[in-house]
Amino acid sequence: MRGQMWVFDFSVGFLVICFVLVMYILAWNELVLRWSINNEHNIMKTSAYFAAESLLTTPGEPESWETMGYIDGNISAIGLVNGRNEFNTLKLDILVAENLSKYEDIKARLGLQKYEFGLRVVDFSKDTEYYEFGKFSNGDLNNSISFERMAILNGEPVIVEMEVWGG
Amino acid sequence: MQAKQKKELKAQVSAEFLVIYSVLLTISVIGFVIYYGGSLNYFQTSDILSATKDSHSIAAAINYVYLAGDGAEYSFKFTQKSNYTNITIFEYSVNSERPHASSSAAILNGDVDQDGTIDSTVIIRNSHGSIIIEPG
Repeated sequence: MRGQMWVFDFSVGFLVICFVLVMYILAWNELVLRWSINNEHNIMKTSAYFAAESLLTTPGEPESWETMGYIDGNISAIGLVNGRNEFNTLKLDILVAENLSKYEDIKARLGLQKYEFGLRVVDFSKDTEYYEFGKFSNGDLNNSISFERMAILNGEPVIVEMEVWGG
Repeated sequence: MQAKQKKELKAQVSAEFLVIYSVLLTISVIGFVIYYGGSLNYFQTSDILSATKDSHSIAAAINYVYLAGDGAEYSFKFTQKSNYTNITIFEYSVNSERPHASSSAAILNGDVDQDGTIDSTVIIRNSHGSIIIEPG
């Protein structure tokens, strides 16, 4: 009888310990997963911010890269403005023209190798679209960052819609 | 009669001992495996964190210097860079290599001139759109 009690006690104890250990493993894995997703999202946000800054606050490198007429290895950085937020239409034209053939190269120059990227220049009422570059997710994904910036196009204020997604 | 009872009791104690001993052994083995796996995960996670922090912090510094324009200069100091970390710049990314992990972070300008190895302190300069990294 005494022996049976001991075996019963230990069986219960063993089950409890197993339960605790399994819960510990599951909780730890969940924490690691959440941290990883959160970290990836933060990295994506930072990349999106730098890409937007590069496009709308710098002329690129070399500054007058639009005179080459195309995008190649001699262009080390891409920017689309003359002054801060003031679009250079020639640069925009080249960017859009190279959309199909140089999409990956252009993304790399914006620090967005791991993601997809879309840029759209529209008027203030969002009725007229002036330029579109890249790919948009069309709201199908959770891991997407969409944002808008103001800029000047031919002396008129415009909205620049950007989306960084995938990854 | 008494001798027979004693014999049975001894056998029962022996069976209890075996059961308890095997259960304890199983728990110890499972505990050890979890602890060992956990500590391995801990070191890997720690390395991944450090590598990510190193690559992204210097990439952000390079990007800010580029965005600030010609003439911008910044003295960058790694907060906890270990001797085992190797930082290299390749095209549009900064790579941080550690014994158990590596990480890379994107940079905006591919025209980066690295003078010497990247140590705990470096000076990042924007010279006419080119980024120059020198020992600090």
